[in-house]
Amino acid sequence: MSDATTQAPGRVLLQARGVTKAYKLGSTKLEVLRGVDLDVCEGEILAILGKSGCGKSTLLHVLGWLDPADSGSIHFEGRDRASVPQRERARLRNEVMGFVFQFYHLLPELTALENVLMPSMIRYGRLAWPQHKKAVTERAHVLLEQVGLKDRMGHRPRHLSGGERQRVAIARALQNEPRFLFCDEPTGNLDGKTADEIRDLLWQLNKETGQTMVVVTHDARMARQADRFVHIVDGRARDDGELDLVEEIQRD
Amino acid sequence: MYRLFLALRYLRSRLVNMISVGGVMVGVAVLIVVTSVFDGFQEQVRATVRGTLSHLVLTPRRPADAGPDWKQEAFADLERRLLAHDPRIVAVAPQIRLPIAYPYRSNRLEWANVDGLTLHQMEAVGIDWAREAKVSDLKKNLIAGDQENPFFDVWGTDKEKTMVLVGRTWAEHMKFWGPMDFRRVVSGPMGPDGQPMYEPGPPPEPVEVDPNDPMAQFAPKQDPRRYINEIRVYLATFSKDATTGEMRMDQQSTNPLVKGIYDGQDATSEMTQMYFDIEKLRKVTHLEQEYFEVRMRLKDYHDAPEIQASLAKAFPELDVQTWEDLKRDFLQAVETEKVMLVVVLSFIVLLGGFIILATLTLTVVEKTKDIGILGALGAPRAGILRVFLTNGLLIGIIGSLLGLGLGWWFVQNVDGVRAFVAKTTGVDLFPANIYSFRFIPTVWQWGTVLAIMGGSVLISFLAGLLPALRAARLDPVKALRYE
Ligand SMILES: Nc1ncnc2c1ncn2[C@@H]1O[C@H](COP(=O)(O)OP(=O)(O)OP(=O)(O)O)[C@@H](O)[C@H]1O
Ligand SMILES: [Mg+2]
Repeated sequence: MSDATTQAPGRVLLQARGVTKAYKLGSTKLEVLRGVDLDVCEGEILAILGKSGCGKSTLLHVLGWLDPADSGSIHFEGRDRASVPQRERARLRNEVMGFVFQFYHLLPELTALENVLMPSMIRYGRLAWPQHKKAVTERAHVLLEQVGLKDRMGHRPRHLSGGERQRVAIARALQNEPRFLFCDEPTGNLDGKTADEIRDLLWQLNKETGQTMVVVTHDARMARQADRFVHIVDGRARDDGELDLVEEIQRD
Repeated sequence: MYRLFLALRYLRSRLVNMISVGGVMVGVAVLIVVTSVFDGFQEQVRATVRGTLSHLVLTPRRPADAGPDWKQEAFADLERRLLAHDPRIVAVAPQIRLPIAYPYRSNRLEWANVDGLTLHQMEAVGIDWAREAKVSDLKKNLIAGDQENPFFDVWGTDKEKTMVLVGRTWAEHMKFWGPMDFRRVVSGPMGPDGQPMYEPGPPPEPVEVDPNDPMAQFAPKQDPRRYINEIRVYLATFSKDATTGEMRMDQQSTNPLVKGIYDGQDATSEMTQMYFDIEKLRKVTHLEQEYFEVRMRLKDYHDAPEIQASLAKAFPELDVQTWEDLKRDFLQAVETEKVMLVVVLSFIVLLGGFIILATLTLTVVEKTKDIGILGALGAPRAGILRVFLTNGLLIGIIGSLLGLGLGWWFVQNVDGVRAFVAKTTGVDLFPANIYSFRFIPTVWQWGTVLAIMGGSVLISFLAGLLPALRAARLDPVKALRYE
């Protein structure tokens, strides 16, 4: 496992320095992140590990520019979040970053296929849509087929199982061929075999397209296959931990 | 692309939106129907009033020092001078108006009580038929009688008889005739063979009169040979007091023959005006002084103000008014009523707007998470704003279009609707004795209709603005946490 912690080659895509984040609940202040320093290089797969409630999802949202940090900086491709206007951030989220949320977050009124198509719909305006429609619909079909939902395309989220929803969410995150993928426990709801298939799909994408990935996971096998992993302990990222800890966490 | 798509999806998936659409629809339909009926009413009122009044009305001013024997200039002379004044004056006609009363038993009309008799107050209008036909619509409106000379006694039996033209509504109210067959009621002109040109129908039923009924004496007497009806009216008469030399007004009963029925499309004037031959009327009422008003028709009514001004200068002894001057208060009242009603009814559309505001606010609250998701997927704030703006706009557009359809149907079938309402609830929506018309006049003005629709769409848009702004201001991650 020693090579997993070594610095992967390639330029640094995402750089977090001294990131803090606290939630205020009434008078008490819950300090979740207390100065995270983290680099993610182009083309690598970084696993984030940690106890439940230690702030992994929070960190992922902050890294993906969804949520501003209280202090510290997050540079994505050399640009600080604070210096990028809202509209441009939206464009980056749409075209460059993909998000798989822990709780899927599908649009309940849309079918699985429409949910997967939504990033493309947002990307192309009314004028550009007709010329892209065929290609992106095809891609959505292929993705849903790859995650094993070939005959669930017309289902609403409410008629899908948790694992199926999770896979729709993965397909949606991949729809716009993002260069950077954030996954929050992408296989958390899947059985061993399906989880392996999904992981293989993600890893294959990483190999083929050089897609950078940050994966929050409790899955030891997934963490082991990552290029690198960090632990979130006491609100800080530590990359000196042993992977045995992962098994320990799983036992919790 | 997602904006219209999501707006449509939200619209379709939520029942409340359909309620908003329904609200806008009803508001638009009601406004369209009301403005159409009111515009129609206004137009019809103007047409009938202008039809009976002609374009200009000239009233002689009586000089202050004129004695009781004051005589107006002879009409023929005045006519010559007036026609020579301006080539745009087409025709002039004299007219006199005298009070007349008809004994009548209905309590639905205004009546006065004179000497134990219930009298329906009317106006005897004396006209010169040949000239009147050129200045007003009376000839065109004559639905029974001889259009060439209705006052002519075809049979020449009774030279002293007075002839009268009555209004259609009045005739219908006089139950003596039963169901109206105008050709039977009124004698027509003589054909070359000396027979009436109108084919006589079967003899009318004899009038059944209860001998104990004190009104029986006023029932028209049927003449089975001529189908002419004789009515009895009280006319104002005039006489000069032998000692003081002053004019006295008196009353006298007379029995004119109904020689024609006119349909003025105006129940009020039909109920209150009977037309007599001007010379005959003068004779029976002993009205010796030459006194008449002048009705004037112009080539084009647009010239009225100009001609009115020049006439006033050239004929200081005449008071010159357009028909609009004479009916100014009435026309203003109709216009005011219309504006008031439109303002009041606009509140329905405004209410529709508030429903949209409420439902969209609700939608935004309910869709907070969706908004977060869209933000996370890269939809800019402006895009999210537009999803909800489009939603409101769609409600407005769909509601307006449905309202247009409903309003159009209503306007097309307004008389059917009125009959249906009258049959099922017994309420007449448009009583002829108030609104003067037997049918509900409507006008379809696209300008008005489009303004109503545009206004409604605008209100829907504005109603959607607040919730949409709220949606756009949501922070994606905070919205995502919303469960
Ligand atoms: N909106 C919030 N308001 C207050 N506290 C919050 C909020 N979101 C998260 N927290 C708290 O912050 C801490 C970190 O939450 P987070 O979701 O990041 O944990 P996690 O590491 O992803 O856990 P898990 O592995 O169970 O998903 C938790 O203790 C949680 O209770
Ligand atoms: Mg989490």
